Amino acid sequence: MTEIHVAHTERGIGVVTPVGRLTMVVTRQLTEAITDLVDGGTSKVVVDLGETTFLDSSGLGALIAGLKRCRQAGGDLRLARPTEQVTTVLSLTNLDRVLRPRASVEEAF
Amino acid sequence: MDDAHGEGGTRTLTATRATPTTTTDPDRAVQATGLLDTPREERFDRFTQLARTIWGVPMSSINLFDHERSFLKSTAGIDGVTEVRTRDTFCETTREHDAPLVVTDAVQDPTFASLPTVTAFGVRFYAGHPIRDQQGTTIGTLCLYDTSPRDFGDHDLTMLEQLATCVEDEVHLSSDRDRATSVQQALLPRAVAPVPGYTFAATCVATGLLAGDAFDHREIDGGHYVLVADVMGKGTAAAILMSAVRTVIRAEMRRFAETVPAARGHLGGVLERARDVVQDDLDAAEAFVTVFLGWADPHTGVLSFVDAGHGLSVVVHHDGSTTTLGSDDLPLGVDATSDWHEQRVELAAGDTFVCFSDGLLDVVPDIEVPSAAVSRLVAATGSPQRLVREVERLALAVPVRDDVTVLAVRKDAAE
Repeated sequence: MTEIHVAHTERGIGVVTPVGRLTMVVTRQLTEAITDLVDGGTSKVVVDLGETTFLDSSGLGALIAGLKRCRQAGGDLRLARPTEQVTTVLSLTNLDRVLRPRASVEEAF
Repeated sequence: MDDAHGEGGTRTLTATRATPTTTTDPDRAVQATGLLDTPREERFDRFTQLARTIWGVPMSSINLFDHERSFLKSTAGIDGVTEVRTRDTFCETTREHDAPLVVTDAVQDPTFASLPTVTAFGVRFYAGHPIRDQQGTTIGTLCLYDTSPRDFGDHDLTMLEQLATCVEDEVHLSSDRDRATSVQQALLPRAVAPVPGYTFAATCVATGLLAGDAFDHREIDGGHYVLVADVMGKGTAAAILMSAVRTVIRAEMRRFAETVPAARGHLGGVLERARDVVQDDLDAAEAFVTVFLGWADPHTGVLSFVDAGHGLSVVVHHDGSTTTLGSDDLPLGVDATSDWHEQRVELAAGDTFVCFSDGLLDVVPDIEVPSAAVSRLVAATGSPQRLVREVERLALAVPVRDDVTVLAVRKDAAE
């Protein structure tokens, strides 16, 4: 069962942590979590993928949609701590060019 | 529902649901469901099993009327029977009245006492509800049977109606889906005229009934256009988007091919113009598409291509070595200003070009290094047709997680 945790850092950055598999089953939850942050005035968002065991193309779609949403609000969406499988999916589609992974949540912004 | 109490506790009821607005030939309506004489399916069996559980009756069935017979699409507690003569059944009366029918004790009711199901199989209780198609034509029944008389109250009837509605939804779904699947298959390119010196084959195996992958191949003014594209996600939503994206790319590609070479610009421009058309739609759908778009000149063997985040194209040379055709370009729909770069590769005699979707990564064994796995596949199969058939076999052998598309072109070795 995948869970999506949402938190804020001391510097007001939104941190979204999907725990488990990031697939079509939870893309709506992820999209809602990011939308809620942006609507609430937090447009700088880190998606912490350290606990994400698997990412498929639907999950990737939700990340891209989240990125567009954050940028439209003047912010950005960045990824932290991707696992090897996630890194492979990102590089295969060249999406690591727009979603460049960072080593930690702190380094993302 | 309005009750009309008959003899022996039999009740026929007038339906409260929408009455048919058009009259359709019932036999044709049944035929149109595509369910006649099809094997048992879990999606229907669960309703007859559920009916047995809810009412504790020994038998339940879903019958479809086909001329004089009833085809039993699903049965629970009735073994080895797939069809019966409708006039030998309670359902004949349900059909005649076009309304739910409850027979609390058939032995007490002269209309039913002599039915074979009563005399030979000892059925005493029957409850049946019409199953209608989307036009409201009655095409069958959902039935309950018991070998003991029993009562069936208004609450039971309400539940039976609800269960019948679920069965109807399933029937409607299958006709919609079958139609969608056949339309999508029809949109895939039919066999193109063979190009002397080349062998071509392609396939697309959908995870569900509709694929979010597509391939395309057209000969335009002597050149050959090939496309393999994968909409993020899968299923119906992906299929709808793919249909739009492929049409736009095909139209832009035709314009490219029909322009004199000096004025064509580069192949990346085709995708950039396509992007200008579909970007808003992809934004609204929160989707993107990975694309391999190729333009081949059969005379020179040169394949010009752009790769939009697809990354899964390989040329397997005649000696088994490989060239992976990658790029740093983004998928279509990610960024409204992204551009794409044309690259070129030359196919020599004996080389095979293979482009596939990421679904292949789930079905081909030992594919950690995709180019090596594809090279082994090319060597093991020996021709694009056999390669495509092998991929289909692999994709159908396991429950695949994603659509699987593969397109292969070999430049034949000189005679």
